[in-house]
Amino acid sequence: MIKTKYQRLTKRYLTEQIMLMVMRLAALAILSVLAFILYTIAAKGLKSLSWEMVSSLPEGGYYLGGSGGIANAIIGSLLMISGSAIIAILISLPIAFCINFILKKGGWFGNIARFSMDILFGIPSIVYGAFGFLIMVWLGLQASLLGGIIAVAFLILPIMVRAIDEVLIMVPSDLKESLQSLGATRYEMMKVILKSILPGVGSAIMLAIGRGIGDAATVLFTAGYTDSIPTSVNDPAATLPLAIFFQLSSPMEEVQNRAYAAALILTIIVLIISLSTRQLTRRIK
Amino acid sequence: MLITRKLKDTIATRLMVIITSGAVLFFVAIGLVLLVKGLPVIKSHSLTELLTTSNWKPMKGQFGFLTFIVSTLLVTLLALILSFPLALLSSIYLSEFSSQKIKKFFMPVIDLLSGIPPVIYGVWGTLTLVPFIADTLAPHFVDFSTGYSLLAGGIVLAVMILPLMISIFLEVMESTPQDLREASLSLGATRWETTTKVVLKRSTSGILAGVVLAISRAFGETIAVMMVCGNFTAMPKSLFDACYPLPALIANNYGEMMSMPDYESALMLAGFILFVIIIVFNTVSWFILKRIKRSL
Amino acid sequence: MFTITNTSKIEPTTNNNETQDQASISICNLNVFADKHQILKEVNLVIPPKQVTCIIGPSGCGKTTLLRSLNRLHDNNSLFKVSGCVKIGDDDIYQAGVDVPALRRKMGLLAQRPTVLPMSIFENVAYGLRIGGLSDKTQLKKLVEENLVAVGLWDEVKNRLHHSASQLSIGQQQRLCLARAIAVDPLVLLGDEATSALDPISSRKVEELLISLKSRMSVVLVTHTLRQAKRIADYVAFMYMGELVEFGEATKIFTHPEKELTNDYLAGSFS
Repeated sequence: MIKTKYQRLTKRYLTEQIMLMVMRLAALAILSVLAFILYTIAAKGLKSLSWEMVSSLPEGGYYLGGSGGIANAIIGSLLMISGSAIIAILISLPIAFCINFILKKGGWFGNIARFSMDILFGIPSIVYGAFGFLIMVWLGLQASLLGGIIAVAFLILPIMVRAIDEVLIMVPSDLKESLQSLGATRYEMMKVILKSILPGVGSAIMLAIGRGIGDAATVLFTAGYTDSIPTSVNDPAATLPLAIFFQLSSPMEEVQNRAYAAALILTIIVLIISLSTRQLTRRIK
Repeated sequence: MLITRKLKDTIATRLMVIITSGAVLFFVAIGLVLLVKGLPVIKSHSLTELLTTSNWKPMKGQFGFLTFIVSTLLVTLLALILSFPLALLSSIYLSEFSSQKIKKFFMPVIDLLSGIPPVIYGVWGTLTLVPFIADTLAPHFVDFSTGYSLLAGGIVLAVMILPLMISIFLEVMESTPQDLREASLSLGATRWETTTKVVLKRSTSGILAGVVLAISRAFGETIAVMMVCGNFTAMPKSLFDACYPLPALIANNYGEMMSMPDYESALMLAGFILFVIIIVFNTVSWFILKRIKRSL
Repeated sequence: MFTITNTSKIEPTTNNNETQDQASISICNLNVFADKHQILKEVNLVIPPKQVTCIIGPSGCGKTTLLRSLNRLHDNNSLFKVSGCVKIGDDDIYQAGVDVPALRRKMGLLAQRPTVLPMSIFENVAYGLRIGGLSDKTQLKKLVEENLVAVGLWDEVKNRLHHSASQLSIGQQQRLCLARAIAVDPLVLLGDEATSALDPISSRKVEELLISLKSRMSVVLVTHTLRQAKRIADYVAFMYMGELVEFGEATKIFTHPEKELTNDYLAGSFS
């Protein structure tokens, strides 16, 4: 009798040990996938990565294997994300503060606002791209830097609002109450709170930039593509994701190799942003 | 002095409320614009015809979405089958078994995975998965495959939804009070028994919410899938056949459809369908997750 | 020179064993570190069998840590390091090869707040029994009823046994947890301020139950209310800053404590 019970027990432990092993394998698999992706991109990209790639514009016959680089796409991407980030900050800060400090806690409007932001966050970038394009047609705009900026701003707005909202939720209510008991108006109170959460806002911006800079579907119809650096917001602008996408679909191996190099550049940019966001968030906590 | 301060406060707060309302309306506006743009094609062809036939010949005015809808569903299902077990097992590991050190090491890995842009996943897929499927895997099963296939799309998508699922699963499981685990352990349960009978049981609805959210993310993913799935307008018959999901359809044809109003309308309708499905899924998971947070 | 380290003694089927049943728990040179901070310092204590032992002391003195080291709940936290020994009879529960789940089964736990598991009232009580390998339905029903009767909950819940346990009041939940803990017939019941979250009436009920359990098992209770200790304790251990200051029979500690520190604490000089 005792013995059978003891055996039952060993079976239970065996289950635990086996499952633990399976779980470790699962975690390891995920780790290997990441390593595999980074390795593939690095190995392929490093071969064709050169200073010329980063620093020069495409020259004549570039897409047939001629010389030149993708500086147009790098600069285009940076210009675009800067524009979108500025617009998105200007809109997302008021929204996040409004939800947290002006609307009643748990009130219907606050709930709807949060809900809308979460839904907007889930809308795929292709829908933002298509919608942005419709707006541009409606406004009579051509595919341009401005169009891209608007579409990407749509995409990163909910990301920013959610991230800032998360920071604001953690603001201790003591701070809020003590400011109000000093006679500060809500606007003054929010100014002080904004100052105290600046690092958090910074990491929210970084998070949004990291997402926005790599997205291709939003800029596919809105930003156009060009070999030169845009001189005004009405010029079309090249972007890194599209540079990768277009060059990869070329039949020429030369050009495809450049797509890999461009992919490496984009990956490095995104990794740097992602890791420094993490550092920033950790410091806040 | 006081009056200007009050005035500033009033103006600022009013403005903020207006901006917030604008954002809420924005999300309604997207739906409306897509719907209005999609209406003409619904009028000229019935909705049932659009959704249940698979003839896609825009030049002849035939717009049957069935192939694309089926492709979207298949590629999503495949991604889910591949990634759900991995996500669940590794979340359980990180939440219930691993040491703090391993967890600290692992969280940035999940961050990085979610930070990698879709186009990079696409490049990775074309470089590794596509040739592997074409040269090594497919010949065992079918006569010919280019490698650009349902399977490649499913795998890429599976990797892309992993971090989303893991982060939600983790959040939900970690919300289990430590007391409950200890109560179970004190009754002689092993850690694995505690996990399945207490932690997972308590987390079921949250895990469901995570899956629903992952599905809706998978539905909308465009570039990465489009780069590896072949984009061929025919019903896929095996894992190694090309497929053509809805987002890829929009992305591939958007620029060139301006001359044909019905074509544009059909693509906008595709966008609207995507939008509605995703809103429904997101709403469902939003309410589940909210209920969990409230019960804490 | 070949000795068999008999770990199978710590095993769930031994609860009918007479010698084990009367075994006291001896704690020797117990040190517990959390990260680099030392929480318990050289604690030596023998907890007598089938008595109510209360551990008292100001908050942060290590009472709960001591309690939790008795069923190895620190195992799962890699920051905690435990040294020294805790023996049930002659078996050190910290030696290698101990069947930890089986050990924990002998050391039932009643937490500060009720910890009802996410399942029905019936399943809560049956949980530990099922884990122990009991699957016979009539036997399960019988044991669940017995234990619910033992905590005076049977009449209150017999018509809704299969409803979710979280619908019960806090006081009922705590008694349900008690029924669940004693259903597996532990050697010792560990209570961590088990009444502090309850209203006075429920609290008194649980206290009475704990006293009545003495015939079946030893009871070790961490408490921060001196009055509670006075009401129910047979033995009292007073702890301060991670050290055991004094241990003895309750009547003696409360009337003639040996140490001045104990006296000060009992007099309310600090808390």
